[in-house]
Amino acid sequence: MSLPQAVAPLARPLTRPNPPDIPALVVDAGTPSETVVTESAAVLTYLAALGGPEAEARLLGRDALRRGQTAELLTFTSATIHGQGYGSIWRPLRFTDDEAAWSGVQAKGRAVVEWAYGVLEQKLAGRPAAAAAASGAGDGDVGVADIYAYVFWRWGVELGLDMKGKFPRYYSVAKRVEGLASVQKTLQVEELAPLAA
Amino acid sequence: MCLLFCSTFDFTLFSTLLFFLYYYRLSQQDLTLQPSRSLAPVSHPNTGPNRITHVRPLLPNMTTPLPSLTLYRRNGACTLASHILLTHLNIPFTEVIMDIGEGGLHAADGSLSNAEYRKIHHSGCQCPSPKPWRLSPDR
Repeated sequence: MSLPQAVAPLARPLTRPNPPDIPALVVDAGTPSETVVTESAAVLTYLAALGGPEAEARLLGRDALRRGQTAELLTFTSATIHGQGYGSIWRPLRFTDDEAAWSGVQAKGRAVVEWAYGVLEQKLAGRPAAAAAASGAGDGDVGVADIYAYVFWRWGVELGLDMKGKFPRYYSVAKRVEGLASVQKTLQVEELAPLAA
Repeated sequence: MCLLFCSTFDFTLFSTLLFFLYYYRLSQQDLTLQPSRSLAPVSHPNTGPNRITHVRPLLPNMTTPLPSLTLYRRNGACTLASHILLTHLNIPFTEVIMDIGEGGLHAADGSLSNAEYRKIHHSGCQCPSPKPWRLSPDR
């Protein structure tokens, strides 16, 4: 899949930027062993391990290959979709101090996001658990890569992309994640509407 | 002789009591699955009224205490994933809801300044211009 070279600028300004310097997870605050974990991929991996061996296997992967795939998805989502794509859209200053060039950076960022969602569509659906869920053979395991990808599926909807129509397999993953009781509860706490119904 | 016997007996009784008391307390500590430290972080002054603290039951299969966790997050941001996972695993945590202003990220309830947050996070969104997050392409 090639990246489009010429793209239109954003049709509308976005009003809810994502600050680039969260999350920060402070472990054992105020003690000699206090440690700060940053970067979503690292925080998610750490939290999955805290859940115990069974949760860790379910969330990160039950064998070496699945764990490698999880790391691949987390890294791709964090670095390409978030860092490059949405970073360009929401914080063009990261890439150039020239304010006149910001609209071009933002347009390029949108193209990166759309291209990367296409990649994610293939990657997410290619895993056995996701394929089983999509075919109705079972619910499949929801892993940290699915949960992380779900957040960016929401952002795609907020960006105005046709996330259901253009990325149907990615949509099935988002719908499965959003169906979890824990996700519904978290959305309520963050005052967010379900988007993958 | 009698005095010596009584003193030795008292000392033995006292030592035995101390021994049992020590092992009783030790066994109580070993059986405790609650975190040994307070969940409330003390490394920053975030004690504002709007701060929300979640305390959930410990995981059923845990054999060691969980560490105390403090998540700095913002509604709808990428931190939604970490928030979901904490909820999904039922892990107790304290949250500090962040907001972004002229000076960068700070606690939404005003209890943590950007300068204080930068001591926690290596960059803390110390924005180099007044409004670098202006998003409209025509501005």
